[in-house]
Amino acid sequence: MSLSRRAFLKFGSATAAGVAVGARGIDLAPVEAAATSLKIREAKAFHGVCPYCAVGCGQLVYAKGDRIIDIEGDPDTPHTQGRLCPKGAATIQLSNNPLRPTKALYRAPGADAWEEKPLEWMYTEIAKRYYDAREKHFIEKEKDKDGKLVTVNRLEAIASLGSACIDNEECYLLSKLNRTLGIVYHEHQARV
Amino acid sequence: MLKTPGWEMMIVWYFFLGGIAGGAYFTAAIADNFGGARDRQVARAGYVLSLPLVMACGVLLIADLGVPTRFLNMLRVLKFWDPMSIGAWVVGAFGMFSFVSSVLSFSTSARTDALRRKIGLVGIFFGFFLASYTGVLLSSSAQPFWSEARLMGALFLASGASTGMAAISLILFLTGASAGEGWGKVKKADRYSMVFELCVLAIFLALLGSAATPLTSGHFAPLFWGGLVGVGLIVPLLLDLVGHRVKTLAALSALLVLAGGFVLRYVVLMSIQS
Amino acid sequence: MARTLAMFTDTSLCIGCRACQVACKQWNELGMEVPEWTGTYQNHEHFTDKTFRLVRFIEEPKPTGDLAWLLMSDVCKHCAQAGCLDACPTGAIYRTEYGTVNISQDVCNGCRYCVSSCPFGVVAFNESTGTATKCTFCNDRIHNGLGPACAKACPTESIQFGFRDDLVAKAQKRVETLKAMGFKDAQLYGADAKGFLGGLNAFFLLLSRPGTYHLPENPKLPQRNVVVDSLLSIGSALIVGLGALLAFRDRGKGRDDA
Repeated sequence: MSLSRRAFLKFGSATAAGVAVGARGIDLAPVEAAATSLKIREAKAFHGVCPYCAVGCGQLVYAKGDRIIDIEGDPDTPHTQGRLCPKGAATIQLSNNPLRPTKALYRAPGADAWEEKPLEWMYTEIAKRYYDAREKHFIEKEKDKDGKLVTVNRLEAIASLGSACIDNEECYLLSKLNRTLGIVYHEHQARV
Repeated sequence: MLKTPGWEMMIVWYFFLGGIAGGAYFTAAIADNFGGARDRQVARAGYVLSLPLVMACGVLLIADLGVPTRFLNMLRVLKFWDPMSIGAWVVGAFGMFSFVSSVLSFSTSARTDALRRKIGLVGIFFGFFLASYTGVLLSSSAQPFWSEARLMGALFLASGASTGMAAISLILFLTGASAGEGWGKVKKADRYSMVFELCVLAIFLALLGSAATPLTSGHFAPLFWGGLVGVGLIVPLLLDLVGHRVKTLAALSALLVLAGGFVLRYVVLMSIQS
Repeated sequence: MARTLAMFTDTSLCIGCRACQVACKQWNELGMEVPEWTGTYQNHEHFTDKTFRLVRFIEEPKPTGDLAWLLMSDVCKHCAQAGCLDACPTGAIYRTEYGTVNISQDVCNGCRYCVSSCPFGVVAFNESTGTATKCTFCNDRIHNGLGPACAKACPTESIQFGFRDDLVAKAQKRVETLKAMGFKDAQLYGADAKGFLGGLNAFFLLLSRPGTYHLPENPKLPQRNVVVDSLLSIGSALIVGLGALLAFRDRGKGRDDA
C-alpha cells in the first residue's frame, strides 16, 4: 500500500472512524491500542475559503461547539490540494487571538490620542458620518459641457477601497452599497 | 547549533559533593578493611561524612529537575548504557550503604564490625561509581569538549578521591583527632590522589588538544590554571611537604584541595554553558 | 512494527515561505516568540520549545563572487539511533511503531540530559512546563491517518511525507536529476540507513555540504563513549584504590607517615 497525498491529508467528519482512515491511508492495524487522541476527531468540519488573498485556497475549518479549533488546507481543492501559505496556515488567528482588539479605537479630529469606544458606538458613528457627508456633498444635478443641467446623482466626498480579503459575496454587497450611495471612487487594493 | 542543558550551580554543587561523598566513603571502607584498628577514626569520619553529603546530593538533584515531583520516574527504567539512569539508581543505593555503614561505625561489638567491613567492601564500588559517573555522564553527551574528554570520568574520580580524603582529614583536624595515626595515613593517601589527579589532568589536557580551549584559554582559564592547578593541587602538595609537622598548614592544604575540587566541577560545567 | 514513516525535505524546492513553520505552530499550539534580528530572513535563530520546524536561510559565497541563497526547512531528524532516546533516564522519550522519536510530556521530569545529548541541538527545555520538548512528527496526526502538519502545508512539496523506503528511492532519483542539471554538490543527508546514526527518519536533500547548513558532517551517537570512558574510570579507580591501600595498609606497629 502506498500513501496517496489525499489519503493522509484529509480528516473529514465522514471519515472519523479510524478503520475507514486506515483503509485509505496508513495501515492502522498494529497501532490501534496505542492510538493517540486527535483534537479534531470530534470536531465538525466546515468548508471555507482562505480570507486573505485572491487565490482563494480551500480550507477545512474544524469547530467544536462555537469555537474553531483548527483550520487547515482542504485537500479536495483542485488548485491547492490542501496546501496553504504561511499566512493562510495562520488563519485560525483571525478567530482565536488574545492579541486581537475587541473594542474600536477612535481618534477625534485634532486629538493626539486614541480612545477606546464600544463597537456599537463605532457602527452608529460610521453610519452617521456617511449620512452627513452624503447630505452635505451629494451632487444631484450638474451642467454638462453644453451648459445643460443633467442628473448625475454623484457623491465625490467618499471613496471606497476594497481589500483582497473580501470574498465574492462581500464584494457584491459593497459594490451595491457604494453605487446606491453614488460613490464613484470605488477602488480595490489589487488595482492601486 | 548545539544546545547546552543548563546545568548550573546546583549541578556544580552536586558534582562536587557527590565526589566528596564517594571519595570519603571508599577511603573509609579501604581504611576500615585494610587499615589497622587505629584507622577506625578515619573510617568513621568517612562513613559519617558521606551520609549528609549524599542526602544533600539527592536534594540538589531533585531540586534541579524541571518537574521535581516526578523524580521517581528515574526509577521506572534502568538503562545500563545510560550514565544518568544508572547514576540515579546508584545515588539511591549509595545512600543506603552510607546510612548502614554510618550507623554501624558506632558499633562496639566485633560481629557488627565485621559486618560493617563486609558492607564497606561492597560499598566501595558504589563510592567509586558516584565519584566518577558524573564525568562519564558529561563525556557521553553531544557537547563539544565534554564529548571529547575521554578521561573526564577518571579525572572526576581522582578529584573525588582527593577531595574526599581532604574532607576526612579536615574533620579529623577539627575534631581534634589529628593526633592519631589515621591522620597521617589519610594525608598520605590524599597526596597520592593529588599526584594522580595532576597526572590524569595532564593526560586529559594532552588528549583533548585544542578541544580543551574552553578550559585552557579564555574566560575560565585563570580559574582553571590558578584555582584548580595552582591553588587546588600544586600549593596543597607543597604545603603538605611541611604539613606533617605543622598541622594547621596540612589542614589549610586540605581546605585548598576542596576548593580546587569545586573549581574543577565549576569550570568543566560552566565553561561551555555560559 | 509498522513500516517506518519518514519526512523527506528537498531543500532544492524550498522557497522559504515558512508555511511549514506556521502550520507546525498552529497545529501544535506552540505560541509565539518575539523575533530576533539575526542578519538574515531567518526567524528564529534556532529550535526552541516553541519552534519545532525552522526554515534556515543560508547565504553561501559562490566561486563567482555571488551568494547562493540556500533555504532549508529544518526539523527533528528522528534518528534511527537517537542520542536523546538513549540518554533519557525516565523512559519519557520513546520510539513509536512508525520509527519516530517522541517525548512523553507527562513522564519527562526535566533532567535535560536529552538536551545535551542531541547531536543536532533539536531538543529544547520548556521552562514553563519543566519538560523537554521537540518535534513529535505530529504523533497525534500520524496515529490517526493524517500526515504531519508541516508536510501538508508545504506548497512546493519540499517536505514530503510517506514511507521511508519509498521516499529514499524518490530522493535518490531527485539527486540524479539535480546533478544532471548542474547542481554538482547535491547530496542526501541521512537517507542511508547504513550511514550515521542508522539513518535519519527526517532526511534531507542538500545543495551544498552539510556544514553549510550548520549540520554536523558526521554526527555521532553520544553514548558511543560510555564503554571506553567507564573502563578508563575503572582503571583510575584501581589506581586510586591501590594508592589508598598502600597508605592505609596495616604494617603492624610501624609508623608510615612520610
